[in-house]
Amino acid sequence: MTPPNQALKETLKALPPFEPPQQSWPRLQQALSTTSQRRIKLFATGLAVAASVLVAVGVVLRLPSTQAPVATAADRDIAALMQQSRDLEQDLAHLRPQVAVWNAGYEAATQTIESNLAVVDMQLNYAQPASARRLWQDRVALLDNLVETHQAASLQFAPPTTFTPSRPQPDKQTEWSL
Amino acid sequence: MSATFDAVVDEQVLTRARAGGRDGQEGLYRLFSKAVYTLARRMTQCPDAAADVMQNTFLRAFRSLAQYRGEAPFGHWLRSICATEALMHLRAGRRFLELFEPTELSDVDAPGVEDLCQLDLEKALSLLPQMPRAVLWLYHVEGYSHAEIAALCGKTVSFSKSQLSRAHARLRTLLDDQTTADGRAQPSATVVPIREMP
Repeated sequence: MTPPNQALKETLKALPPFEPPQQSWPRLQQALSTTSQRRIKLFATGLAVAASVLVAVGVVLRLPSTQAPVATAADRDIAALMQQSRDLEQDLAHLRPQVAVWNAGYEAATQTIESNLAVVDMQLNYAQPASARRLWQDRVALLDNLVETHQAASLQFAPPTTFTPSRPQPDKQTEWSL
Repeated sequence: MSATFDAVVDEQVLTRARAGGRDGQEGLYRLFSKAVYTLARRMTQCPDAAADVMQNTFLRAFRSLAQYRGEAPFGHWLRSICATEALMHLRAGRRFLELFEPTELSDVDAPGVEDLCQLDLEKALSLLPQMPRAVLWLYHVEGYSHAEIAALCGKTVSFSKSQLSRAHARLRTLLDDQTTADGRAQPSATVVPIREMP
């Protein structure tokens, strides 16, 4: 290391350390508790789901065979939406590194879509089977928009006004409030 | 300052933290919080961001404690998590700026800092662009090599070198400006006539 580098290194190292904020440990404790509670909740939910599935399987086995396709059609619909969502996530993961530079229009659009997605995801955690299908539809529509925004941004320098999402965004204010 | 990352961790504390014990986690927090916060603060330059980076660092570390096998000192493992978290924070806010940054910069020596007061250096550091400042700190204070910084940033070695050169060049300019300003501020022996207002 050259002398100026050595001198700079020593001077930088001699700078005083910063004291962490006083509330850091309580805040961290709270976050740790939340994480643990979430894990317990997830575990409990997993158990509940497993139990429900067992009960449902038991019920279905006892039901006449004509009623089974009605239930599986709805399930299949949701499964298809989930698969679409996974595919779009993969597209997004592929597109994200390709966007080197963002302009303000795309940035704002992306942030809006991502915050809407977060709201949908949050609701999916607590969704009843009846509303799950609608929420998965919303998720797919939002991801579709997000992919399109990334595609447009990766092409670069096209003005944001030329970009029109193919699907309208769901009505987030009325439908997504908890 | 970096020496606090070298602090020796009591094996019992580590075992308790691995088991999810709150006292073990608190022991690790008390031992390393100042070092983690300082590194986060130096890299982000923002107290709020540094507090977030510190929180994320400990959360991630406690969640991944099973992956720590004790091959490197615990503090060094924690430091790499903190550096990664801070770089993630910087990357999140710099997408607009990359267009205007030159990709390559020839080697620039570190500026002379002899007889420099800490306050001047602090001021100059605060005026450095984010990524060059982060690389400067990781290289000089934390002792990371260019290859290690490149790996942390997910970039090439020449990116790390270029950022360091940029930091040196900017620091030199800032410190020169401060010296000049200080020189001007010194009281002069000559009498400056005061013009009366009409």
